[in-house]
Amino acid sequence: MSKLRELAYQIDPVLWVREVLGVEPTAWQQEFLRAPRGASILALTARQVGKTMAASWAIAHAVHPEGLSVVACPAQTQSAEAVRRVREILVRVGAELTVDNVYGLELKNGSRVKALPGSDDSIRGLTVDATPRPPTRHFIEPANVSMI
Amino acid sequence: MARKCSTCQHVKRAEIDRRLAAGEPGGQIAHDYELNPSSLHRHRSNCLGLSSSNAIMKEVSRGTAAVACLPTKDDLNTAYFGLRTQIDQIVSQAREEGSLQIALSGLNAVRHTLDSLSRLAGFDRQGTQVNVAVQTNVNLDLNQIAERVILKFDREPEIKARIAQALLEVDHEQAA
Repeated sequence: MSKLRELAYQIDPVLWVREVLGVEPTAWQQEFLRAPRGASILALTARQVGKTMAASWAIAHAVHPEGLSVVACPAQTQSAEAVRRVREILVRVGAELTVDNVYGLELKNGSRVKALPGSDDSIRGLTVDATPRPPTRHFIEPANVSMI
Repeated sequence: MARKCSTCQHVKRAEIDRRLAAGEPGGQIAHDYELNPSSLHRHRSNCLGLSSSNAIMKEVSRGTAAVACLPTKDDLNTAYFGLRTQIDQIVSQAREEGSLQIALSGLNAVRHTLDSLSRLAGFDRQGTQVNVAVQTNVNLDLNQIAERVILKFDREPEIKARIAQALLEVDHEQAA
């Protein structure tokens, strides 16, 4: 991959999803992917419209060295589903995984993705903002029950 | 009907042949490719017609020694300058004594000898050696650039998207 292309993909996750994964994100997914860092986004959508998929794209796009991405759902099995999708994307783009299990992934560059349950008690102690430069992504799907 | 040579049937035959021709010991090659040393020896002598590893290495050494015995570029340079001085002296003397033709024939023979030595040493094909050092002072870190652009336009997603699209278009143009 050329340097220019790599740079373009880093700047725009939508472009990366479109060109590398071959999927055209919907309008709300594009808005979600291009959201500013640290933004809190509440997606009010129908069922099966690609909330987890969009979050997985965003996580896979943000696998910076030493970065940590967290998926927190009410049940850990739901978080694990999101991590499974991230894994599929990473494998597809040729990333090398050093840790690969149901609740977590770690890449060769030190980037991690963790699937956690959404309760406060169980996610305490995790330093998600320890590394200032690599953007830490923190996705919470509060209900995962879509609202129409 | 005679058996086919097992080394000739080997999937890495070309590689084996190259190593044999380079004079590597047969035992080592046989070990690396899990071949019978006797079979490899037969392949070397019957199929390739090569002499033993020692003989090949001796020939290589002789070649290296012969090249080392050739005059250096500096030696040839000195010899050419000496020859030019002699030519000047002899031409002056021969003119005075009236035997110019004989003197020039002798010097011409010496020049041919030096030319031959020069060709043997390969100096005549070297030409002018030009060393070109290209220093690239552009040491840009892609992550830094991306980070700067993202931070600058973090709240303007449309601009980020347009920058990325423009970069992709430049990439397409360069590839075309």
